[in-house]
Amino acid sequence: MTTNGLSGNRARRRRAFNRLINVLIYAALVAAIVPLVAIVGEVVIQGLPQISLGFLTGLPKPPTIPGGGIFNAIEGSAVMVGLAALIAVPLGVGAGIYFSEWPESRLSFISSFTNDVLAEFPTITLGIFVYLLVVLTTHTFSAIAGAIALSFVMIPIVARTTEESLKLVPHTLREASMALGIPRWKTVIRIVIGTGKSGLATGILLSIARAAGETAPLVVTALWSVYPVTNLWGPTGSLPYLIFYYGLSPYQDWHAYAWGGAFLLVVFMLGLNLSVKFLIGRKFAGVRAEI
Amino acid sequence: MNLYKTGTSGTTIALVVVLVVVVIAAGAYIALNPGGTTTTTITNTSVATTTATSTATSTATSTATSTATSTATSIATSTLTSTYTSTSTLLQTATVAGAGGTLVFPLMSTWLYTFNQLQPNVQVNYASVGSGAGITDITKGTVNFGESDAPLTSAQYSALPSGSTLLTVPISASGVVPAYNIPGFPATTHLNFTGDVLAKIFLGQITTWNDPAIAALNPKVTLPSNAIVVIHRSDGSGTMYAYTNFLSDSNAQWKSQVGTSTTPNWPVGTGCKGNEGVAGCIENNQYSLGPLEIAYVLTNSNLIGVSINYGAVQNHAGNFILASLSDITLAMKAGVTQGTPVPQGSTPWTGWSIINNVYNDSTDTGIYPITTFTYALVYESLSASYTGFTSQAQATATVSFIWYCVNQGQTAGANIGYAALPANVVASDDTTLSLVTYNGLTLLSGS
Amino acid sequence: MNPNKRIRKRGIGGDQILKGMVAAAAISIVALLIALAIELTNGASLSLTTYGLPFLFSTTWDPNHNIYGALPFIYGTLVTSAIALLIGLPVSLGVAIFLSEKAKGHRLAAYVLGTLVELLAAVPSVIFGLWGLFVLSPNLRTYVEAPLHKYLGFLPIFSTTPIGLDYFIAGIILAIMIIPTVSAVSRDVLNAVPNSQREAMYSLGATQWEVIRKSVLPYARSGIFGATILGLGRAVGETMAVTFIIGNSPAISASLFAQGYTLSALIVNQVGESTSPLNASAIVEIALILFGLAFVINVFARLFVVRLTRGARFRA
Repeated sequence: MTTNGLSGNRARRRRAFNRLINVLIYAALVAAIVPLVAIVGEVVIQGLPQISLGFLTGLPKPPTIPGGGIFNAIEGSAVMVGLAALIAVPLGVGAGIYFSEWPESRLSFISSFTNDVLAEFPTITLGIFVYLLVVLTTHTFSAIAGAIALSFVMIPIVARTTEESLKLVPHTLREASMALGIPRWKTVIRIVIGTGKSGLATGILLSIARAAGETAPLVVTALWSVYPVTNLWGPTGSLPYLIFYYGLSPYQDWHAYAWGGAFLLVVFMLGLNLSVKFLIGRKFAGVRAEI
Repeated sequence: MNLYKTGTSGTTIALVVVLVVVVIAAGAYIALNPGGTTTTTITNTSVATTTATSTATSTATSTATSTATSTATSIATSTLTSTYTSTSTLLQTATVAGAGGTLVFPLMSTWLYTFNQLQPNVQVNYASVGSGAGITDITKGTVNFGESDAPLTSAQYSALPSGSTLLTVPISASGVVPAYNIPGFPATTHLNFTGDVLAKIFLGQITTWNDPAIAALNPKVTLPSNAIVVIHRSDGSGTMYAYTNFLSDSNAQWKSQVGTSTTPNWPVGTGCKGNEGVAGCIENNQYSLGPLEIAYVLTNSNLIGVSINYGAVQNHAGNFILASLSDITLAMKAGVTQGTPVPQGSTPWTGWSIINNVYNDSTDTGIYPITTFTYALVYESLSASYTGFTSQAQATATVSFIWYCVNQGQTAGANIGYAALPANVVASDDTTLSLVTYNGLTLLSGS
Repeated sequence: MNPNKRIRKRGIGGDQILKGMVAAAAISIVALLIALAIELTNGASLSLTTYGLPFLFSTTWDPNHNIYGALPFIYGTLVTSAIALLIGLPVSLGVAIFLSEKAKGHRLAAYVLGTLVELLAAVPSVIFGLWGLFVLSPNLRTYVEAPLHKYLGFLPIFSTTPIGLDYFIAGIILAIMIIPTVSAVSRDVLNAVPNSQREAMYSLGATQWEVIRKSVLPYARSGIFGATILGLGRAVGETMAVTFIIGNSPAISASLFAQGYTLSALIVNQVGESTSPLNASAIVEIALILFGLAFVINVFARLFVVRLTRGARFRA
């Protein structure tokens, strides 16, 4: 008699279907997590044995000569990312402040939209842009060109996280401050940024992590060097390029360099992302820091 | 004025603590594990030291007063002993950037390393980006010297900055071999190929290993029936220029359909980046075949017979020659004495090749037919704005480095398949290098 | 102090200066995009004037004979992205549904699993390429591609001999790479669906899946569509991972196991070299096409995503 779906065969079918979907969802979860475990596992297995003091402080040797290290790549990456941050942080934070404090202006809308578009952009086009603009005119591949290219990758991230974290500062604070007669600019700098400080720091750290892993822009701007950085206007090594170049080589000892470099890079990026997430993520309910 | 203390100081402290802990842990781990890099050190046991020393002593003195008294040692030891007396003074601090072909890269990386030991103030960098990129980079002045296995085409010469003279300086010679990966073949079995058969494989006309044309050349071997996985370069390559030069000479259809080029439009196959990439692709794919510079096979000598091997190629005298230092040297010597004469360094080298010169040579029975020079490319006037040089020290360092490569450095590649230049080529190179000036000053005067 | 005096003194310079400086920063971002477009168009001008629109449909890329066409690369980009979406979208949706619907009672599990998925985005793409080349490619070739070719090789999509470097594996790597983005945005979108919808259906006796299918997903449809477009944008622009795996062959083939090329892989392989000014210009035109494609996709995605989700969101 009962043909409603709450009992009988129909109900059983519906419940079975529900169980099937459950299985599929768990399968999807597994499919998403297994690659992460596999990749990180492989990097650790292949890369961790390479790490030693000599590896971190030495310079690469030609193929078949044992020993050597990747100090040039580590230093090059640090220098270029540092320089990129010097460019990207002021511009990104500035733009973020503008988006958050003057959201009604047309410039804010256009720029914010442009910012979002740039955030997911193919970084190779940014690299080509810097190649055409900087490398060809200065007649050299350089750390400066590399840093400029990386800064273009970082600016959208910094701007967006700055905007988001400043928007979270309650308006009551701003109003109270203004009511006390504090000029707007001081309000913004001292109160608003002061309150949103950790969000800003998060954004900067996340952008650094992202820039440290970028390879395509560096291939066409900074190229490669096997020496420590002595000249910012000369080709400079970097961890991602090391992994790319030495990983594709046919030499076993160079593969070892690549895996060791990959290990360092993965540790750095995962570590930074995790620590940011653990330390900051809790404070903003309903907000997640994500890349 | 802090109306709102949000405990950010707590967050910052936590972050700092985590960082400190990680650094201490890392330091402890490193301190307890002071080993070097991987244990897969490739020791070059295939030492051709006897041929190396004989070549060293036969390298005549160049027109300069420097004497090449270097003792040849295998690459496995880390220092090459050589007396570097070319400019006889310690060079000033300079960084030199070079870029170009991957063919010379194993040798170039040794050169940079030993030159830096002899001249600690000079750091030479070489980016192995392919001959095509090397030519582009030197044309645009983004490097101090370019490197290519293919001489510039006339179109490339016209693209050079107006009023400039680009010098072409042969720095070494090597062979392009048909490398393959056939599982189960013993290391001592080297398949025979002819230029015509290779052309047909790369045209896609011969598709399996046991094709009758290949079997006819290798009667004693049972070839598998698997399809040939064709591998070639994806980037602009002088190695491919040499290879397609040989194929064009050997097969009329190849010549008309594809031709000789650093970037041919390959009818079939997979592109891999650099000689390194091709070697890697061959190692990673069973039943693959690809043109490879011989050093990339020899530096992976532990893999020969395991995942990579190379075949012999027939020369015009009818002999199947397996590339090695001696037959590459013979080909080079024949190539500079017959056919089109070797051009002057400051004149265009378009279309000149050892391969063309020896293709119809049936008297030199032991030559390896796919032999090519590899060239350094440097401008004659290094103070011009298009060159990108920033100081005289940099210019002197560049020219001194190339001088070193052409003279003392010649013995370094002996056991990985790089032939030392014959005396007349070295002399010609030295003359060419003496043309280089900075602000009108000749950089290598009388030394 | 006289309050009037104080008011008169305050903030005339400071406010203007701050606003000016930050507005300049905002302008610089717009200027960057415009400069990028201009510079790329400038570099591509020779190729644009030589070929015009047919460049997009021409299949020959032959630097030796100075003939260029973009179709093989556009094809490769579209095919690998399509595979990436085909595989990545269901997985991402599954993850998003799990994290937003099923894990509601288990906050710790949701947190940990959610973090693990997000960490995928923290792995640099060059490492994806390395892993893909050395680990994924040989395994997929032996255990997936070879059997498919052997038994289903009569189908055009499996018709060429697999060597481990092809559209298929490149597509799979891209699928893995877009999972964090698509699942994160989908999760936001699903979380934004009001609970009243779900409660209404549960009270009618629906199973969990029916609730999701009939009341949550339709509500979230446009947001998920936006998330998909975002994932597409990421897949289109991905360079390094693809370069290792795609086979670098400028040809068009119906087979998934054939070697191909994408817009971004071509640029990174050949940007430093050119045999002629037309060659160099053609490469920059490829970059311009990629720019245009990514721009359109990203704009589209933002229009869909921004509209639906509410609340503060950190997103990179």
